[in-house]
Amino acid sequence: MTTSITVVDVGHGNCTLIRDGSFTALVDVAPGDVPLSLLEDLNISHLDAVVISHADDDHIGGLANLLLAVDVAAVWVNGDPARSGKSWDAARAALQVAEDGDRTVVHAAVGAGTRIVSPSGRVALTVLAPAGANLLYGTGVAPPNSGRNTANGLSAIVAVSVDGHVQALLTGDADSRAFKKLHASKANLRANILVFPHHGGLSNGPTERFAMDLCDAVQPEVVVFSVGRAKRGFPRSEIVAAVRSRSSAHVACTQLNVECAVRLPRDPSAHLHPTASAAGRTGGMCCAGTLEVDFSASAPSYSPSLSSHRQFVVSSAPTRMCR
Amino acid sequence: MRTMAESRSGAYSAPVTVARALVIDDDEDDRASVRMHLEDYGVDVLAPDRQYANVEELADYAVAQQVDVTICDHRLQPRQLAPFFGAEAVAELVKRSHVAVLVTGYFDMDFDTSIRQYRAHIPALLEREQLQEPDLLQQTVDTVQREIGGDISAARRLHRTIVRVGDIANENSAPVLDVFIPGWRPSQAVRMPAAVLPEHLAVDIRRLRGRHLVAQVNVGALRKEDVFFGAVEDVVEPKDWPVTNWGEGASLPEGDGLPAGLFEES
Repeated sequence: MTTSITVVDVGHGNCTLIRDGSFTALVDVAPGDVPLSLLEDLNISHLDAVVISHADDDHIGGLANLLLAVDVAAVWVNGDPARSGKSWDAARAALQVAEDGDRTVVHAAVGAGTRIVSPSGRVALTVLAPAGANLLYGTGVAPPNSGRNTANGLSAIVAVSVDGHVQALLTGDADSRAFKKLHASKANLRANILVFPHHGGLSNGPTERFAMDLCDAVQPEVVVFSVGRAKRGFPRSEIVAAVRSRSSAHVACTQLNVECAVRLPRDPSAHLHPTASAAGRTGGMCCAGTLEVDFSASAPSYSPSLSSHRQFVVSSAPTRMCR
Repeated sequence: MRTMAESRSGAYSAPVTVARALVIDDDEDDRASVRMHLEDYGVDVLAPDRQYANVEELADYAVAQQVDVTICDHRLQPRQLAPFFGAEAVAELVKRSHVAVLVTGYFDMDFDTSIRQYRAHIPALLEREQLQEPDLLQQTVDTVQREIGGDISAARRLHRTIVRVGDIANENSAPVLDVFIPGWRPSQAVRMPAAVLPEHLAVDIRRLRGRHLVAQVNVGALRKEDVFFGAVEDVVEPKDWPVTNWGEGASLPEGDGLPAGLFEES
């Protein structure tokens, strides 16, 4: 029985697949065909849960594709009713179609305390932030004694645990204020894998300090930046440097940043997951590509393996930020 | 004599080489030019000077010639070779599992309209000068063969999604809808030929402005010009949310589900 967490290379954006036997869940669905191709390759035509951290294009843009392609039992979505974005509008239309077909239950908020557990009980998705009371104010509004809420500030932070241990912290685009509130509430943020917030971009605060504090709080073994080669400046070099200064974690970008390698490598895919769809695979743009962590055995197993990924980085990224 | 597949690399790079080709083009000079390029690479070229009354006639003729590929120009009308576009002919041939490649010198002008309309059944196309690249033609033929055999690339696979209609316009005298496809690239508008709409939506396309449609789109497309549409299903109508559940065992009143006399709207 497969129990795994897969951080999908969708280019600039987020999508993470969580499986435990027949239980399947996605957190965020970026635009493009890769999330659909991945599910098809794995013969997944039913999802028990989809969680959308917030309504930015690179997190919700693929939701319409998904809802019209596979059965989704329940969607939790942090929307942005004040916004009139094309992705948000299309997602609403697709949710209406799915809900009308009695196929999908729509939960119109993802607040702290939301917990989705696989039938076996091995895997749980626990939403750590934002606080439900804060969500009620919505974006663009300043709750009492607080700054104005932003879409990133209300992005859901999801902890994925296996057998009671938090294996992955999926942070969406959560910013420094969101983590500050979490820290103040004495939440335990420890996790083996940190999918770094906002793709390693700005954090609404002192950038390097934020990265260091986050590493101190999470103490990850692996830090993933879910990025596209075409989008320059993600991750920011000072953030990668701060992560490296504070932690010995393995750094894995889904795609190869131009800052790390101006030229694409000659052998770009030998180290990658052998079958998993990845947006960078066709153009030879993957760094770690799609990263799967399998918990079926006693110790987690990574594909690509961390050592083969490191070897690829050393040989193919002469100006690598992760050193 | 070199075959097309070995012309550049010096080695066979494709499972099938083109030995015999049919060229359909309304321009005599262009027919002669294509013939010359292909014959340089040992291809036996059939380039008849004939007219076709309809797509079926062209397709019947092409299939009967038993060629490895039919290379068809897009604009066939100017010299009255046919009253339809080459894109429609190529799509029909591919539907009949006949390897056909569309060629055009008017790609920038036509891809939004008369090419995109049929693109779901045109696995690959070439701009006219690319015909001078024999390796490229061979690769294109291989692509078409693979797709006919059911091996469709991720970039060309259709997925149901939601598109939002922005503006309505005319291009080359044909009505088009500028649509946004958030499941592909949220901020980039793509021209949808009104001809791909089903009859019930095509009746009055102006009413579609600002609406959401359920449509099949190849959301894995890498470039805007490679985006195309399959079936367009319907409009997602905005909802006036009804009361549908009064609790277990309760009977639902007629009409809008609300008891008469309460909260009446003027």
